Amino acid sequence: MNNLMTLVKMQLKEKLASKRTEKHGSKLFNLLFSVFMAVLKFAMVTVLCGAFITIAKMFSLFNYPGYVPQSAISIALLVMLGFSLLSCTVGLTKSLYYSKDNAVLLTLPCTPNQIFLSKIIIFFIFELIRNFSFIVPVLVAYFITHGYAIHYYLWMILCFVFVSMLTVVIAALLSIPGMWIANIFNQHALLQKIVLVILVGSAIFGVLYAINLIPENIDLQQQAPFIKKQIRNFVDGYAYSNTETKALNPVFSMTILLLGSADFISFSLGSNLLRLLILVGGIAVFAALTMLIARPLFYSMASKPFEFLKKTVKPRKNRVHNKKIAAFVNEINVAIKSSDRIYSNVAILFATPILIFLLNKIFAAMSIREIGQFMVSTANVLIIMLIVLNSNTYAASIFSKEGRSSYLIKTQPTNPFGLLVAKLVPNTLFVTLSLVFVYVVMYSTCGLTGVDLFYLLAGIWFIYLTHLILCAEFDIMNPQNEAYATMGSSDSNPNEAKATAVAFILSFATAAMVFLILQMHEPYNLYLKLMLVGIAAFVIKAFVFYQNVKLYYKEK
Amino acid sequence: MKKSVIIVIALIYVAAIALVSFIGLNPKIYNQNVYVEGITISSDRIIEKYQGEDAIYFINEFNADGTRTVKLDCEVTPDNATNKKINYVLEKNNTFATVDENGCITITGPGTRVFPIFIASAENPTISRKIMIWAIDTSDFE
Repeated sequence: MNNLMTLVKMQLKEKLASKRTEKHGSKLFNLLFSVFMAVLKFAMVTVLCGAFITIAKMFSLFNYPGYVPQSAISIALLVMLGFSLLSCTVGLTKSLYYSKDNAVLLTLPCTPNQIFLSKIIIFFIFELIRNFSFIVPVLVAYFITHGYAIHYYLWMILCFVFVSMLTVVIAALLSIPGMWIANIFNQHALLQKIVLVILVGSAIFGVLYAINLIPENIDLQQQAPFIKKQIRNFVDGYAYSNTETKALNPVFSMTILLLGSADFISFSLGSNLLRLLILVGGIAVFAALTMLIARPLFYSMASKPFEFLKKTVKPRKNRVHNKKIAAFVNEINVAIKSSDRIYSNVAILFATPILIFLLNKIFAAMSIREIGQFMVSTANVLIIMLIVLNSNTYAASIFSKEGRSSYLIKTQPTNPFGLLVAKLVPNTLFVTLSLVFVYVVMYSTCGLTGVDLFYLLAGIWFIYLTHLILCAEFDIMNPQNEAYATMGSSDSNPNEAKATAVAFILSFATAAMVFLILQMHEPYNLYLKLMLVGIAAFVIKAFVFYQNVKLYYKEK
Repeated sequence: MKKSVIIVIALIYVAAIALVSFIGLNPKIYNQNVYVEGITISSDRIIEKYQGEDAIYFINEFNADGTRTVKLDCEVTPDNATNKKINYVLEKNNTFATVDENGCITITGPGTRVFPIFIASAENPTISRKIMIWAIDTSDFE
């Protein structure tokens, strides 16, 4: 037991140390800062959810007078828990079978059982933190807006510990097929590409099908009663597995456990305890299965030295590239062959034009006045910028991800600037191609002239490049090499958090600027001005980045 | 891209559509009165502006009972006009022809008859047309 506690403490400390930035070496300050940020995050999510629930109540969105039905909240919970399970499965697959610290942990004087359990416990703790950051605030907002008594809150928090536990043990079990799938994909590159093509094809087909379903005339104000009725039918249909006998859906029944009551007023301890017992029983069953099936597999995977795992690759003669382009060719090859990056890049490539096409098709079905046209232009700018700028988050850890090898850039007998920039090229190529597709889509749906559209997208492209360089600079100036070297991943890299925050600020600021200028009497050459601002920002940022790289990589 | 970021972008996407739907739409005016702007007559026998008249209609077929009938296909513009009713009026001294409220003219007795009919919007009588009806009896020319 002591060993297990030590293992948990050790891994927890390492993970939390990578999350927290050391400030003046003060542990108390760091702890207080983390707690403050967590409370702030909790409060913000609660307020946002509370605002949405209040609006839904005001407009009777679910066609129930003055309240949001529990079945609606249950659907939201179901979706969030579904995503949570998916994320847990992926995370546990990586953490149990592919984590770099397995080799180190197995050398410690403790049993494989303890290591396995410590990994599950660590994951459970982080799952709990994650659920308390996103799912619990939704329920708290629901409780506040519907005037629940204090004991409901306490009951919900107690139950949520068990719900998080259930998610983790199911995910531990699902991580076995997850690992098999990952292994198959890793060993068969062609299969991986076929799946990618099928996924992209299905997504495009799905969106085109959805676009065909868009009615010719959308008027939400006029169609609101019909839409509300449909929403209510859907919500009621979900809640009852049999509408005639009013028998509850089992999933909804489990949600009532968290909400404490099926009718807002009566807290039935007996039935709630019974539901909790069923939940604990479920956890026990899944935990037993996990220990029986996943644990031996974990030990087998973790104890296999990586030296024996290397594939036998048919030797090929190395191609000698020009020194100036060798780094670029290498990075493009890495980006294409790395499954994570190719999926992400292909998603950006197709998602942006498809989403813009869908958005403009929906707007085209509406009879829009002048201010509506300004809002449509602003929405287009905002959505494109949010997608392309947030795709830059990877750049905020691109050098650190190489772990201790990242310093090799310094040792190469060439200008480090070229090597650093080469790493940013693949994503830039995909985003540029994506913006070309967006140009074609917007030209046929948005009503802007070709020249204006060119200026607009060129402006966005330059802002994207500026943000990309900024993200890379975050990583160079505050490297997280150690976190990636020891664990192979970093759950919350501060540079990535900063990159995301800047992406949102830049997107909203640009969209706000476009909206305000469009409302002026003569928004003369608005998009040209946007492009010029983008170019100016890019030139300045590129210069600063170059100076920083020169300073950081200077060897005497 | 993190899952939370994807969710936030999806929410902003939906919010943008909802915002345009509630703020950016053209105002809808209920029970709006759409006024009549003109009257059109559709028939293959119409000759527009013949000899300075508004329109002329030729009839030379007799029914079994010796009458001649013709239906004027008149419509008001625009299509969504609130009051589409049209009044058909003959001259007071016209004793050989009658017209009903649907624009069906009946001419009694033989012989060539030339007479005007006035077509006016019930809502705004100043919007009107005068059509000269030429009911020709070919036996008069034999």
